[in-house]
Amino acid sequence: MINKSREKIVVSDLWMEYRGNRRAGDGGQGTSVPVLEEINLTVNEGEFVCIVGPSGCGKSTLLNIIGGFLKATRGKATVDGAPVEGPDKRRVFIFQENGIFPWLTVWDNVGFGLREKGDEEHERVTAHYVEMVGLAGFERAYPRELSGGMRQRVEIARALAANPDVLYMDEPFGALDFLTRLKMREELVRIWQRERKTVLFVTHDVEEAVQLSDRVVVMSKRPATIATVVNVNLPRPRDLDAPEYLSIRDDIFEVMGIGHNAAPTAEGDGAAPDAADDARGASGSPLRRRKLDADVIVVGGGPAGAALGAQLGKAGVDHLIIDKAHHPRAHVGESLSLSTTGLLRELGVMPLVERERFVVKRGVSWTTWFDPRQIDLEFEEVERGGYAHQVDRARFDELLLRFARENGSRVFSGAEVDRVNFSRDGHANGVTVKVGGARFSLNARLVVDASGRGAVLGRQLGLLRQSSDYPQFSVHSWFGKVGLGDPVTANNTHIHLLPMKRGWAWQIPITDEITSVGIVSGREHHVRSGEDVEQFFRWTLGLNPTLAGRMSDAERLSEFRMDGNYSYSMDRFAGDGWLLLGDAAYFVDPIFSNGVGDALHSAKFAAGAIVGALAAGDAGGASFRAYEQKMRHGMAVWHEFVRLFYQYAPVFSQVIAEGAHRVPALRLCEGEVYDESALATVARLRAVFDALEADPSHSLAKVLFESKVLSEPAAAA
Amino acid sequence: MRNRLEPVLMPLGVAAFFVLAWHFAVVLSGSTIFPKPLDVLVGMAELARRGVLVKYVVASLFRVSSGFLLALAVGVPLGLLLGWFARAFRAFNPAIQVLRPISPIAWIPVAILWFGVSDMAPVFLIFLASLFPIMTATMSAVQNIQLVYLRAANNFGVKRLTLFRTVVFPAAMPQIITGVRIALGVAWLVVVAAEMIAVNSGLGYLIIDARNAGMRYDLVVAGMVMIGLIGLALDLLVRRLEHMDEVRWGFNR
Repeated sequence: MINKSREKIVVSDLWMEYRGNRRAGDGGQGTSVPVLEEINLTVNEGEFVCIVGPSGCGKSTLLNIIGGFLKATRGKATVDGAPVEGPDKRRVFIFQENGIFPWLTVWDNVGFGLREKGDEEHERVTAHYVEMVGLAGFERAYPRELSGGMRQRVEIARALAANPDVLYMDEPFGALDFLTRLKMREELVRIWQRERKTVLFVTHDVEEAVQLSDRVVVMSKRPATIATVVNVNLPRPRDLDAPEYLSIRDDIFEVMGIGHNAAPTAEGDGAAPDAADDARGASGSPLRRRKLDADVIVVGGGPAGAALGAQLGKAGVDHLIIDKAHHPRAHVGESLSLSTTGLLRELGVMPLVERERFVVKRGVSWTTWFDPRQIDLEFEEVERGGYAHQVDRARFDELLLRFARENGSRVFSGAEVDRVNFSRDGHANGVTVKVGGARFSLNARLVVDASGRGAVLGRQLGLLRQSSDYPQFSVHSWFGKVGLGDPVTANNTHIHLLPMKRGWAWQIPITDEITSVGIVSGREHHVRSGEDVEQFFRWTLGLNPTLAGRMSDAERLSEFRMDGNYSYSMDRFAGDGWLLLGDAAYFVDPIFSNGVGDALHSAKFAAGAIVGALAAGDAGGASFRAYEQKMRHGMAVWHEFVRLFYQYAPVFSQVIAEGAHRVPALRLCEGEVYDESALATVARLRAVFDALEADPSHSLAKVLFESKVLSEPAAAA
Repeated sequence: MRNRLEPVLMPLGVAAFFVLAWHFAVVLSGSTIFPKPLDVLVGMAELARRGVLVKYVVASLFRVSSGFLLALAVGVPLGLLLGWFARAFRAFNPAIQVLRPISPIAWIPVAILWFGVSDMAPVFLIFLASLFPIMTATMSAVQNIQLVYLRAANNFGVKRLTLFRTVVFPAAMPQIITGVRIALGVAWLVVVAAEMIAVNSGLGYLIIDARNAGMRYDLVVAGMVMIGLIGLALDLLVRRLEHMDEVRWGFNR
């Protein structure tokens, strides 16, 4: 495939000395520092060769001599048989410090080497390379508006557009962060495979060299000689966990005198050894990767993962949170339950939450289609001054993750966990991470899955069971100018019941102007394909007069979103070396909107269990039995409570509001399901409802009966 | 709402405070010669009515722009050349450094000797005053161009004039603009001084004339206020240059 026979670049017997300053005392001769000694090197046409060596060894100097920017003291470099006299446009140099012109747009930069070409060719070639490096749409942007990675891509495009035979690259990705480097390497391999230029690439990063090149030239310390040349005959793109790859890499480390267990700082790129934040500033070397290993790896940086991280951090447990989201998450509004307030306070994050000025919620209000009165349940009754927040999840999640970082969590974001790794005896011992097309594994003593409904580990182990109860669907959006009813309860979460099977709507004020409104129903009542969502939404709103009134002037602010809410749970919540958190363990119908509350609860229980298990040196499944029991208890309460709600939905709020069980029921609604007493409370409530249904003299029994009749025809509408 | 108005309201508030302080200082001291702010406004209206306000402003601006543009036309190319050719720099720099610290005011007698009482004398002074900031800024801009830009240009085979046009000049541009801004400020300072001596029109002339011809301090201060306001306007104008896409990279990104 590559023409290996033709020699492109030949360096023979090349020596380089730097003249020092003349000083008195050395006879005015000046000291000279030998940099390169007897370098002999041949690069074939179309070959990708990397030069690696310790920092300051002179590898950059060598490249600059070959590129024609420096003169050697002795010996010479030839390209195509002709000695190098100076830079040449057939051989383009790509600089570490990024040499694109800040006064030109992306387009003009890429077209810079094409000035002498005709307009048509200039246009066509520029467009081609802008597109190739993925910058289409940024043609008119100036470099200052681009990220470091994008700027480096502009430089590569500018070089390629000039159609050179050779690319010289001097640590081109050295200034980029870890993730961007990985992505740029992948891009470079892709581009090189297409263009087949001869590439001479200098790096101090052995991993990078082995990932990219056909041959790795390893240089010694200064004065540098070529210590060895290693062939890398592996197919591209390369699997960074393949044994062949690892053995080549380790061979090179051996030659460079950096043994397997050398200190991470041996890789002297100046990066702070614990620049933990997003692993930024890290080099992609295996030494660095070992740095990412942790006692506990937490998959997912949502509320569950972040809350666990903060608690582990406080307890001094070494851990790493791997978070898929690199960019801000989608904005979805969510009503936090009263129990989350306590949990957030316990966590110590409440001052940060308060600072965000989320809408303060002091209760829950219910309306029905048959009774114009609104039923308000105030948190005041449960807890003096009790309140919770209505939050924008994007902001809330970001805040929690930031808090975790402040408390000692290392966060590796933008990486996707592909799978959890297990040792031969079935003990989880790490994860395989996918970043920019490259995969590699990280080791841990314990893996915690907090990946939410993605449920990485549960799905991998086949533990997921869909619960038969209630497959519910929701359609929702953000609205302006929504009527909020009585100003006293305006900031409450409002649940509006709808006369259809398991139908209800939520109304949650997210800010002073924005209100999230959504309609939930069973599948049989949901929007059918081809049906107009807007129309369905309007028609359904109309079923509840209170809701219809509030929405009469409403303006939709975003697209409708539709979600399916299948309840599920995992067969097991923990095992040897692994643990499931929050939605990764189980998910129940969100009528009581307790996703975040459950996440925080599970994080709290898990933190205790994990700290204990690690202290005892046993991360086996037995250590987490109590955790699993606690979680299952909560789940059982939820299931029963949700079932009760749907069975008696039309009168649910009235009965709760009037009955003697008003406060315990409200506690359940607000997420206190993990208490020992919770199951008994639900049982008592069930008894109350069953008694009501059996008592035809009760006014609500009649409503219940009628609504059951009523809800069926609605299905046909 | 509050944030949008703040950048306007705060400076206006401070200015209003000083105007008030001025007013009461004059009233309390009982001075009959020094004008109150309102007197100055009336004086300005009088000047406008007589048609000299616009005439003098135009005269001053004309002198400044002539001298300044001349300095730009000479200073930038000269600065580029001296910045680029190290030997020329070494030869010329000592002479430049000797001439540079001489205040343009010190040149006034020489200017009158050479050009007489005409527009040329102040134009010459302004030229001298703005030449050095522009030239030295341009020189140091060229000397400080990042090596990587020159290497890249070199690599793509860009030579001589094209190199100056496509790389050296644009790379030096932000620093040149800074020099231009300083130069324009100095030029405006000097025009007033020059007009006090060598001519019979312009804002500087207005000030001296108003004093000599009847102690009209209301007109003296009116002239001062006009100078200040126009100076502010000129600076705002040059600042806009810093926002051009081609040079923004060079300023506080």
